[in-house]
Amino acid sequence: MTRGLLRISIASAADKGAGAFAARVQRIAPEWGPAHNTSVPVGGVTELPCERGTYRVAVYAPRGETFETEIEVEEGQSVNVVAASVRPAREWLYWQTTAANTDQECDKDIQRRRRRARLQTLARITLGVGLCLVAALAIVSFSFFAAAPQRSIAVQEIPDVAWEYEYRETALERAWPRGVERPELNPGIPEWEPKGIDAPPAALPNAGPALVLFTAVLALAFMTTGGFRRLAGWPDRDAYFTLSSLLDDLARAPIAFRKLGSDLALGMRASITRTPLSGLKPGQILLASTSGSDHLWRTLGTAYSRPEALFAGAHGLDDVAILEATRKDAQRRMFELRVDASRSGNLFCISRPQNGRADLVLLPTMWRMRDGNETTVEVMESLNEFGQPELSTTVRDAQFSPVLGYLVRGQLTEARIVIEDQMKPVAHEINNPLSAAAIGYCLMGSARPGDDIRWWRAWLEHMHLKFPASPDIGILEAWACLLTEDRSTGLPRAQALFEAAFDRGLPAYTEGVRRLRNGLTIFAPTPTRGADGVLQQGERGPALTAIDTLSRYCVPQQVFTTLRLGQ
Amino acid sequence: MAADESLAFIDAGVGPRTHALVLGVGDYPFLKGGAGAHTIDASEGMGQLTTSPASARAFVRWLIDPNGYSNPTRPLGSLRVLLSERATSSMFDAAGNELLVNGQPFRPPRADLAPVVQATEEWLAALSTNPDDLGIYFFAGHGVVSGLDQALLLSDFGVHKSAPYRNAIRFDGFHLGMGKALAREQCYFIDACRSYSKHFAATHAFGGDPIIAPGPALADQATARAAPAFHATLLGAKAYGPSGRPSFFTEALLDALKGSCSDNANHPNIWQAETNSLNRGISFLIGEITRRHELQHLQINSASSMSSVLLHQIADPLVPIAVDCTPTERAKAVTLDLDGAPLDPQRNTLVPMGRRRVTANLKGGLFSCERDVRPPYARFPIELK
Repeated sequence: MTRGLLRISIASAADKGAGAFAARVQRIAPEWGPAHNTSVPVGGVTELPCERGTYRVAVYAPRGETFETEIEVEEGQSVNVVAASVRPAREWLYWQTTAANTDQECDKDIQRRRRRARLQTLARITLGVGLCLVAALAIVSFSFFAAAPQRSIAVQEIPDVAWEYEYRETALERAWPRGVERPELNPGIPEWEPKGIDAPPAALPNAGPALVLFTAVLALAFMTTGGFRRLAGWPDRDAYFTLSSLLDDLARAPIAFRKLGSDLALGMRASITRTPLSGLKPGQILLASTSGSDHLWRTLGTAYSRPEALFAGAHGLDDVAILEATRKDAQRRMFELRVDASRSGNLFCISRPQNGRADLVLLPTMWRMRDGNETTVEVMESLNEFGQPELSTTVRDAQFSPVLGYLVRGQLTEARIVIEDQMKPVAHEINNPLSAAAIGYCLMGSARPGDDIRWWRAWLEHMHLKFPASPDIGILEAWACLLTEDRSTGLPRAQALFEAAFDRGLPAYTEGVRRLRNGLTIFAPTPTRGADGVLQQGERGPALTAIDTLSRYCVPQQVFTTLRLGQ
Repeated sequence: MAADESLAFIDAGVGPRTHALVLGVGDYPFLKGGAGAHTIDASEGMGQLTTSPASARAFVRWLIDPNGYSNPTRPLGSLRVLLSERATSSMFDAAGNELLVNGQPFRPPRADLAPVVQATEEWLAALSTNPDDLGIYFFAGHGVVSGLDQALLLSDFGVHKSAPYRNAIRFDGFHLGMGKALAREQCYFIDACRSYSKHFAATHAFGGDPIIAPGPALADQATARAAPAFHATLLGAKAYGPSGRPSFFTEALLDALKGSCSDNANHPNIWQAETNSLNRGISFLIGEITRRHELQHLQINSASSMSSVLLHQIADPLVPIAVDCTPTERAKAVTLDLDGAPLDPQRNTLVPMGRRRVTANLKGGLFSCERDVRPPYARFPIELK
């Protein structure tokens, strides 16, 4: 008997090349059959040979959207099933940024905007140079004509009235503003000269220097992006102290975490309002790297202002910049930047504070795509119902983005299907700890009692050796020890791994913060319940205290670690 | 509290069992409108609830109803119930019969901290005899969040004016602590708001009681645990419900368990409620419910620690249907019928599987749509042209 062929694809102009989605196929008529899980590459086709009958096909998008259809398959026939998005484009964009889908059009769009930005910069320089020339001409002409009346007065002593008349007529004609009526001179009347008529209106020569100065400032301001903003008053460098301390603390655990606990608990609201964050305008976020960092970054689209002269090395901050949105609408603004993944140190961005509250994001700067290239980090600022900016972060990695989407929504079973279908063969080649950690969190979270976890357990050990400095990989390895190893060996090893992971700094993923806190909690002294029924906490180590406090500020909806400060 | 006062049902049979713990908290003496000696400052707008006890009662009815919870491999082994409502009353099953324990009407103890601790420890003990047992946990009441932590407020929340969160469950710690149980499959249903609380945040790591404190003993069960938690709403959002009736989340959950969540992936003739499909079924139903009530913000359920657990088996699935009439401005004027019987658009409509026809009557004009109805749900798009 010839079998039919079911060809499943995903149609969405916005999602070309965006990895793969999880799908489920089940025969429903003439009789029910077992369900078959598979993955469908976006932009590709998944082909399933099948018997004649009616099939239900469900495709699960990382945003939570489910595409479902029932379709007849005849013998020897090939049937196409196209899962099309029913969501409006706006929601897909939102999904793209929050749940980490990507699209190829974005890159083209960015290229266009970068070309436009270059042209704009050229135009600004041309305009600035032109204004400078105008200013120079103005200086020359005003200095000449401001002197003209005095010269005229000097020649009043010359007896030749006709000559003097002609001279004065010519001088006045030159100096008189265009479009302003000028009284005529009459040499036939002895008092032919009205008082002061041989001088141009008084205000005109005085306005000259001011106009010149203004033009020069305008020219300089135009020539540098954001120049106006700088002139409007960049905050005092000392104001960075609290912020820089915080960022340094975040970068270097455990000293960091210990101090961070008190910073977050006691002073963040005040410190936010004291820092230059309060000077950020709508559509701007602050980008900061910590000491020890040698990050290089560049924004896409709009150039960034980089006040290096003022802030280089100030209080541990190597660099600070204000980022401008590259895309925006009424509710959302998108910031895009590319970071050299080989650099060390942490890079943070902080939103514009509103009512003393701001979001701080640890940017996934170590992310590299499968081909080893750096990727674009996207930070989207959206306004909540109270008009407060909230940040969502993702990376533009077409192959990987659906996994991040499933992870952030807790659809770990779907993530597992995609990982096992698409990524298992190349999992050992992963070249950055962040994508390895995302895979690890999905696999560990979806593990069921009795599952065969040998392949990813071995893979995780390999990743732990490959990325010894990653807190997330360390946390995963510690949990794997707890879950798979014998108590006598696994327990002490897991404890050591949790403590080592803490020492490596802030986990890149919210899931990492949660798992680190839970892991350290397991090894804390067990609290006892008093006679009054109240639980008495034992002595808690500084690491647990710090990560516990930190977790209170985490934004659980975000896949990458995001702290909501000052709330 | 005397031993096992919260025990509403027990079946000490042989083999794996399901052990359930249900908490419904509506009476908060120390919150606004409560009968306590004082009202705490940290109430943040929270007051008395009538939906939570109703939700807990509805969930208990489903668990004990012969047509409700069905799990042939792990039948109900024990059920513990704690309920706080202004006027205590007996519990009734779906048929209206009073629930009896040892021949006496069952009066659930209040969901105060001490009884909750005792009942939870007993529940943990019940789940520590057979690794194949299944645990079901249901909480309905006030909930608040701060970062990754959620506090579930017990009835005596606020009895200590200076430390009100002593009498709240720190859910994340509790969920972690339940890893001590030998049973490796557990399901948690949390029907509570998840609004941000600055007072809870201000407790730092010391607010809330994990009830079952996590510790090194967790590592005794060195194997993966499937313990999905279903939440009524997204983090930072509120959950809703009609006064005196089960909340929207519980309504969606119980309707989903009638068939929307069912799946015959493992066997063509056996429809089972598995947690992943349950999550999708609840999402559909809660969306329909909140849309019907025209809430300003849609209530969207969420889940954490999601992994697959076989929860329940359904003999004849009842499938929810949704009718989408377009254009929407004309849809308000239509009357609907399903296979000739009037269809109430204000309620979830659940129908057995099969071919169904929905007809829309718009001022005498008839528009219909016919299709096969199968789990998880069926949509009937009708164009009013």
